[in-house]
Amino acid sequence: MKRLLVTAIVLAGTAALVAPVMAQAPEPSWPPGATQVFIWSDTVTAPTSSYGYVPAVVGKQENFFPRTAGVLFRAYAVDLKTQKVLTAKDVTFFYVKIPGQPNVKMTFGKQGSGAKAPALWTGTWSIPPDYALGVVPFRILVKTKAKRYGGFAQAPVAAAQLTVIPKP
Amino acid sequence: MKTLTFAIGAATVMGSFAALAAPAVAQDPYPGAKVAIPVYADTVSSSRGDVRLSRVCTQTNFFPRKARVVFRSWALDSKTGKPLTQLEIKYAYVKIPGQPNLKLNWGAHGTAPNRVSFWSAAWAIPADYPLGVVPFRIVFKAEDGRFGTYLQPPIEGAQLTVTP
Repeated sequence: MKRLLVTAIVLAGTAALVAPVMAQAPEPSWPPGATQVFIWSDTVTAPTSSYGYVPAVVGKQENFFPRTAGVLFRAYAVDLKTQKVLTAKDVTFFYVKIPGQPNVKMTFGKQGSGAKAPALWTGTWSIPPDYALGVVPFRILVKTKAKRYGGFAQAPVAAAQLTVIPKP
Repeated sequence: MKTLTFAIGAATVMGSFAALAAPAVAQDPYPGAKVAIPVYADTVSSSRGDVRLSRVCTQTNFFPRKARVVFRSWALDSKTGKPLTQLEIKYAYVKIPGQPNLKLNWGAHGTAPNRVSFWSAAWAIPADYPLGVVPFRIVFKAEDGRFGTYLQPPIEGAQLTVTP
């Protein structure tokens, strides 16, 4: 009986010590898992949208967009095996997947002016006037001609994710 | 003579085609042709600082003097395809012109149960910091000696900019 009691006390003590440690397990790294193709992306204010919305400042990094505004997705991608930055001739598809919307195709081209303007992947989404308000959990997906895949999702920090707000 | 005329004509036509084709070919991919350790970075507003933006923790590239810029970043190891954590990184910092290097710290962000870990650092813009674009650079050095760097795409209007 005494041995049983001691065993029970030891087990209870161990559980009490282990539980807080498990609860304090480190938060997972971002982005999750492993990928074959790295994607960097951001969103900037598009000069206009298919609804005619013109922002106060064009080309500014932003994650809050009113309905009817244009969201310009910008991205670049790197095949981690070859370390090569992907251009138009390297990919089978490259698009933005937005809930409830047709995919937004990304195209590769010069951005900005001047001879040294860099080439990036871009695509514009015009937010429908009735699109649901709140965070837009979009994903950017790429497949290379070498059949290697990559995806981009914003870090799950609500205030810094693409968010649709009411039209002013 | 006739042959020479034809040759000059052909050369002119070829030259014209070359001139037309050149702009389509001259597309330098950002950030370069090859990248060993690709780096993601952005800037968000801070809840702290002498000057605070109307929204906290939101992505923006325009910050007034005395506001705090929060740099958020992660880097992927091209060998494993996984993000580089504090265990694989020797050092990571933001290099800002005219400022001491700003150490990036590995830590958790967001709210439970969606908290995730990445690198970040906050920079309080001095009251007398020059106005205009801030060509910052983020540098990662892996334990195995490889480097990853991030420079903003040099596109007007979308780079970190200090405003009055």
